[in-house]
Amino acid sequence: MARRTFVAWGFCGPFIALFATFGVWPVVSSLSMSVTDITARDIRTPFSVDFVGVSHYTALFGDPVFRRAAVNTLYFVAAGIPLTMIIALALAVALNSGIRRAKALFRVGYFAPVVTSVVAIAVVWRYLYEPDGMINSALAVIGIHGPDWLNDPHWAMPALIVMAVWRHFGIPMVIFLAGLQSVPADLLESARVDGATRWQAFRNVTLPLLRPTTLVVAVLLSIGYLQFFEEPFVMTSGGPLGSTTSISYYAYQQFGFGNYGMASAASYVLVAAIALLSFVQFRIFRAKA
Amino acid sequence: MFSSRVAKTLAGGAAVALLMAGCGRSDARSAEAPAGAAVDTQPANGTITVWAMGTEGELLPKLAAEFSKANPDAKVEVTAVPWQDYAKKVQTAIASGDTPDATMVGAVDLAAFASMGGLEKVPSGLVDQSTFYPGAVQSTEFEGAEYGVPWYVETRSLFYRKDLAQAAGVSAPKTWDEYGPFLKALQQHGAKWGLSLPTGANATWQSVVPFMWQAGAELMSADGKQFTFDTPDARKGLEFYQQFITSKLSNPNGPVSLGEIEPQFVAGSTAALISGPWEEGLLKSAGGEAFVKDKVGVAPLPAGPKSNASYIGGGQWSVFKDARNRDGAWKFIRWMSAPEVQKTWYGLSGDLPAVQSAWSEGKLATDPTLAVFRDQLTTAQSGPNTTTWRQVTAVLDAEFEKVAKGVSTPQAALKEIQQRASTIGTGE
Repeated sequence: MARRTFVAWGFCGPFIALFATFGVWPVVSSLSMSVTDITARDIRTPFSVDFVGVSHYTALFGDPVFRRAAVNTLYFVAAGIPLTMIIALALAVALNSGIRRAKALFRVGYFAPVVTSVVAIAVVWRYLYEPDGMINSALAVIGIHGPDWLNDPHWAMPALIVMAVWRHFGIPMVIFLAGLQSVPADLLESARVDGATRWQAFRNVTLPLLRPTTLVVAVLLSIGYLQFFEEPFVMTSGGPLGSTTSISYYAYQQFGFGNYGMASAASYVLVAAIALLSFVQFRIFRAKA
Repeated sequence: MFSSRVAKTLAGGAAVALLMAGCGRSDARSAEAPAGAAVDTQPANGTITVWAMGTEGELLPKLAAEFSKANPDAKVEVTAVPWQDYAKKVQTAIASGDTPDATMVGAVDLAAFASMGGLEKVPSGLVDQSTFYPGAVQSTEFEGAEYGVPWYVETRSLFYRKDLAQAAGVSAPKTWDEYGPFLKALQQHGAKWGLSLPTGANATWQSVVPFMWQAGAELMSADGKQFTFDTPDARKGLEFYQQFITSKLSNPNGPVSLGEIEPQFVAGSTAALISGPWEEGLLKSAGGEAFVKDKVGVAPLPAGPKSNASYIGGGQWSVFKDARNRDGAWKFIRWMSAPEVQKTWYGLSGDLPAVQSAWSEGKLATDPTLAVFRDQLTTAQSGPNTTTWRQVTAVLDAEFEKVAKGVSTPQAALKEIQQRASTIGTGE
């Protein structure tokens, strides 16, 4: 082997080995598990399982619990992505221009939820969402009788969406901030000279230039949000009345029951959904670029 | 968030080739001996590695030191494992074959572990199963063999505000008929809610199924081949549960997380709760020693048409098939099941002995609160031992929640449970 090849393998080999073991192998083996009747019973004799084709997938769509989980996941994605993007962009714009002093403090402040342990966050938010907790006390001041957020099947999902958006807007905000800083100042200036208002300049100059950034944020968010798991896991255990069970949570439960075949199939439904949504987003944003 | 959680979720499965279509599982399970090979009565030797959960894991080394005195050549190495997710740890160990010698097992998990083929059968003649509480032995059985030795037991009784009961001039209810009026009386003396009942959180079934047992229901056919939820008795039990909520004795939004109920009970906004022997300690830390002494009463569960059955849980010991020191591990377990050692362990940990004769002297024999639990243990039952039980309990929790929140009737819920449990099957 040539010396250069040897050196190259020396650097790449460890990563490739790790990635193959913990990245590729689980994906391949779970794909194959999703078409067999493997359960916890077979774990010591994995070669004794039967091939069952797509029957897990058909069973999934026949399971009302899974259908509910799929609807919940779409609800979360449909509400969560626009909300997160609007808030992240608004704050990025504010940080980029408005707030001159203490900019660093705000950046850190808005980013803190991203790096805080979800368990710690859950404890605090559970207090906030108590029937007579801080949120409802604040609502009471303006005369609104707040619901029992986490125990009400209609309000539990919105409550988790608010929490998830708060927890996740930090990274999109930083990406938008980077995008905003790459918008050439002279373009905005010439727009201003031509008599455009701030808002017109933002709509017609900044936003179009942010299109690639927006695409990145949208794709990252949909990959993350489709795997909605941690909020229901720590806050509601998928309840009340199944209103916050997501596809990931469903898969997690099936793994817990020892139904590895079903669990893998559910995970692959999620993979397909992520692939589809990303594809659509690429089409939308690229077509106009 | 942005890391691939999919990959993480998928990781950790067994390898299965797509191409294995041809070599299916043989349906007939080979006939096996009902018990493992006998263990001699010589002192144990070598290192015995064990896993123990929670407080038991922290305290077990003290007990193990006693064992080493009697068996100078043996050394017990205890690894403390948190209860949370311990089942996954055990399953992973079984799957990979890299196990310690023995592990503590929670009563609900035995069937799942045994079905994976990772546990040894209890050696013939190791212990006399008739010396334990029957409910505890019941939870060590799987497909006609025993895979564990009962260690400690827990069961639930009725805790109530003694001071409110005295003020109301009522004494603890003995039957279902007295239950409601008793709680109503406590409510009239200041409590917002009479009885705290779970309404859908994890393991709600452990609180609801006893009502069905009390009405005479059996959840499984005698041959263990099918679930029998949709029966008149089960319905009677579920209707009884529902009636606490419809008559506003219980909050339709029951406790979701641990530690939620004690402050309410201490504050007097909830007048009664159903819990196990550990509750005394929790109430002491929430309300103080004097509160427990003056204001907390403990009574057996009120009896329904058939009995006052409660749920039995607890810990047992199993030995792994891949154990390196198999004999040593079984000897340690045999030693721990002796009445004297069980008494010592009660002194160390407060865990209630699974061996009935260990209750014959000392605090275990004289303490009035413990006497309540002791009575309760004689009728306490465990859930069916099937590999699918965990999955069925998720259905139970979901359907009981619908009943509690008024979106389903007991009749419809049991029908749904029956249908879904039949689809899930008993793992046979």
